[in-house]
Amino acid sequence: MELSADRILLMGNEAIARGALEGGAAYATGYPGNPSSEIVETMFGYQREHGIRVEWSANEIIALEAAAAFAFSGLRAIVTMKQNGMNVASDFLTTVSLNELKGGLVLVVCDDPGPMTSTNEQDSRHFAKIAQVPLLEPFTASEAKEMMRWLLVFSEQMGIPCILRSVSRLSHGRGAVKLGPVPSQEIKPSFDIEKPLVGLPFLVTPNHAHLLKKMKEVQTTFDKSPFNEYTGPNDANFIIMATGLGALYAREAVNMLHLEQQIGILKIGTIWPPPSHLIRAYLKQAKDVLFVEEIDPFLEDQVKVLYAEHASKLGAVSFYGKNTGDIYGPSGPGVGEMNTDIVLDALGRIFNKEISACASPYEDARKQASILLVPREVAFCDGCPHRASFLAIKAALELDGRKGFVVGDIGCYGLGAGPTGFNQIKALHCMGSGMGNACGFSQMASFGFNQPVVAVIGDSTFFHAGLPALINAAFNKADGLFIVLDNAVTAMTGFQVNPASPFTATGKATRPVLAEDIARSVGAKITVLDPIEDIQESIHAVYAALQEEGLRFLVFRRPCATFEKKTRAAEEILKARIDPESCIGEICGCNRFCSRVLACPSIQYDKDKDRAFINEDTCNGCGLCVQLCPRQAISLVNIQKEGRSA
Amino acid sequence: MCGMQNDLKRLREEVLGTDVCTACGTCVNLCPNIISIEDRIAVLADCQIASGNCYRYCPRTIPDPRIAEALCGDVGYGGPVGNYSNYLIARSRLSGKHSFFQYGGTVTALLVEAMRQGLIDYAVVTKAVGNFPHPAIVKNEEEIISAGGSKYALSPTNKEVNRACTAGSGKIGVVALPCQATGLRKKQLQPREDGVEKASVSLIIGLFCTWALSQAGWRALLNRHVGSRFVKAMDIPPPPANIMVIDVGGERKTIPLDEVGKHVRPGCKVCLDMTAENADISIGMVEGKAGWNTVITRTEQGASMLESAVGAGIIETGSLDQKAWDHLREASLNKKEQALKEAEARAKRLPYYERIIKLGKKIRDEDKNGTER
Repeated sequence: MELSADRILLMGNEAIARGALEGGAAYATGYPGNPSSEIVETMFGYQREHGIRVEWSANEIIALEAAAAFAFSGLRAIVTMKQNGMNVASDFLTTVSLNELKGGLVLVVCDDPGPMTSTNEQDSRHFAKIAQVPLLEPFTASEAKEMMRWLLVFSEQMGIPCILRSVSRLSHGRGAVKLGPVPSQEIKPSFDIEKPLVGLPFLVTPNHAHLLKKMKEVQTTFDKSPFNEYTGPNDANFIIMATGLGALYAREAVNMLHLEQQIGILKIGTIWPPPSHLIRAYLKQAKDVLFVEEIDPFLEDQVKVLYAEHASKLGAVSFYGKNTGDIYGPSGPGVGEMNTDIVLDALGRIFNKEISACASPYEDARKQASILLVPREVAFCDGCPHRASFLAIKAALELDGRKGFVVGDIGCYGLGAGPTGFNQIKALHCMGSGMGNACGFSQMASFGFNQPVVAVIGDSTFFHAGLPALINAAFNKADGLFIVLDNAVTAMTGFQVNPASPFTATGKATRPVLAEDIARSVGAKITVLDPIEDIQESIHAVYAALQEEGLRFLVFRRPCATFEKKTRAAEEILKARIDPESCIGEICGCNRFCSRVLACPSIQYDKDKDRAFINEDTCNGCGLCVQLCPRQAISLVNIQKEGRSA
Repeated sequence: MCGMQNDLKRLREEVLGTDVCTACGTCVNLCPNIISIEDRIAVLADCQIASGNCYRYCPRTIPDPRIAEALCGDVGYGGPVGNYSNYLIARSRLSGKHSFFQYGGTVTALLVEAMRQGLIDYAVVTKAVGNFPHPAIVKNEEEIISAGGSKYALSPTNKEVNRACTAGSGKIGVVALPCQATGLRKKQLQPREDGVEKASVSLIIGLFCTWALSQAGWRALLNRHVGSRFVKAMDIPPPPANIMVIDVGGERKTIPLDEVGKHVRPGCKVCLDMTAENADISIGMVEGKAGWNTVITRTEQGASMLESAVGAGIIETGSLDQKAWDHLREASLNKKEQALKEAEARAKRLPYYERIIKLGKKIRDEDKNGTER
């Protein structure tokens, strides 16, 4: 596709944001989470010019509830989240769908198959079925924009919230997108107090019936939707039914195997409710159907139900899918990310074709490219406050000696489960799960449980999901140690602001919400300190807290080093530096504590010179190594000053 | 887990993770990997150094044969009370500020004299902070005097010695419990080869010790009997009293020794050494003679320091009568007997147990046969 002034290259998430703009969204919010974060971030860029209200919410359900208020009042709104967020938002989603919306409301959920950054590989499409709301799934950036735009209008037309489902590779891949006009915001929002939107029990059944009736209309619309498209011979009796990126993988695989004349591809963009007339028409034509979709056999299941319902009017069809075990990646069917190779393998098996030759150019290129990659350990950034926090926690637990352990949740600090966090986190699930687990662990004393439990939670996660656990702990007299690792931003998803940040997403100064203020109000014993400033003091603080009883709340507060680096005043740029005279290498009894145990990426060890050294390009000058070197060989220097005097 | 054996792994298997560690602090602050709070010691990470100072210096590990001859106590043969040159009684004649001391103030006076003579530049002692012992560096007479008095809970004094050795230069005097004296002596006999330490220990004043409490145990006793009140002094009167006496600002609290015994560190119960056999000079109480100390001089260093203090008139001495000496020997032998019984009862195959059982039996048998050297 040619690029031009109105046809530009956009990341899938940017295309979705553009679609929201073209669809007349007045409000965009969400909770950051890979792979969804860039949508709201792109919307921030539209904010001023187009008068859209954009913000980050404390969590996904609040985001959806806030966006719904816009829709209740006649404005259009979008909400974004990753798949885990869908679970948080679903409580509201499954009830709001029973009411009639005045404005369009679209929930964008980005799934993460074969997760790069997630704790599960949940297929969020199921929620459309649970809540009985329409769901679309695009296959290109261009279609993502178009679907987003169309859904906002359609949602408003039907009065039902809609879902747009993306996946990592679509959200983060780029494609040419043709820009369309941006409508001006002319509606003055108002809430009709004559039409209350209440989910009282006696209203549920009639509302539910009304919703199902509307979904029949949606199905009729979807049967004729241009988002569903058949390509291939008109009389093909081998048909691939594919959704989202699966359609691209299918096309590529069919081309590579030169099966264009034998295989037809039915690309389905309207996932829920499934376009049943359309699907039935192709089931009538087909003798064999292969399903290509991300994660669960969602379309596969729906098509089989349709087939069963209409079997008497349809011929015999063989289905090849995940349930049948015919299409699978290295980890098995329904697990991990879909790709062209998987489709090739499946087709190769079904058509009994040798396919390795087709894949080899890719494999060779991959192998060549992989030589360029430097193997790196998954590690906290240079100067990350979490490194010191986990060192302090580990030290205190070791000193305590009662086999205490850490439970945690989602965020940069989740890496505390790995070597960079000294393998401290022993249970990690969803947002806030560590604090919730700790509530339970602390109530087992009467059964003889005597291991101390430390729950760690990030600042953003504390506001997202930790507050109920804190209040639960206080109310139920839990005997636990909660540690908030407050680095002032939602760092892992790209430094988004959160209530602990001193400024809003638009850069306006605001009063950060201090976690300890909240904890104090429920009667917790509070300690607040910078984890790096004096590591011995940090160790003592955790140790002392472990020796106490009752609800203890410790805040390790220090701004994210990587974020600080971007924003810090240029007056002082600190770097650690190792004096090669003082460092004595292998003969020092420390066994390379700085580079081996502390393992900050900036500290390296020169085998030839038998000395540790600091990579000053990456060092963030936190000073933790300075405190731990037994030779006092490391010092902090202000290179800004050095540069001036030189 | 790497299968390779190394000294830190051995230290964890043979001492730190067992019931023989006394939290003397000898392994702490040699590197950033072994840390301590109160009397708790922990290791932060595995270490790949095959032969480490932490293991070599630990008073609970088997000494290198090349230095074993020079050691008594738990680690070498020294008879019922270790090697000695003389035994006597002494007390301080330090004028000026009177401070609290347990019995005769001899330790305080000896440190003062050592500093005046330039034998030491500063000393590492145990100071009470609130009701808890903390290792501390004292740099002048005033500070030395203010640190007087016995503490019954353990404090890893030797970690402060290690810190002082790398942080500065000069000569250090240490007031050490028997286990600590052994650790210091092992270190003195096998100095670090990495050139890290610029200061060294030149005088070890050992304290008699039959056991010490864990800090958690001491805290439990205080919570039960004293509350948050400041403990001015404490003492364990000789048998058959069977009590610990705590002086809380004029009020006397007594705690039955049976209750106190529950909080004794398990490592103390398998210690052969009551009289700090590896010190330069050992100091304790004299039964039935309040205000005086028993003194055992062991090395040339210890003897000359005492002589010098007597010459300077800050220490007064007298002879320890034979009956008292015999009694002390008996008490020391009794401690060894108890330790070896305990080691046998624990029935764990640890190198330390095997050694003290062998040593303890040898000393007992020779004592019975009257072949003491």
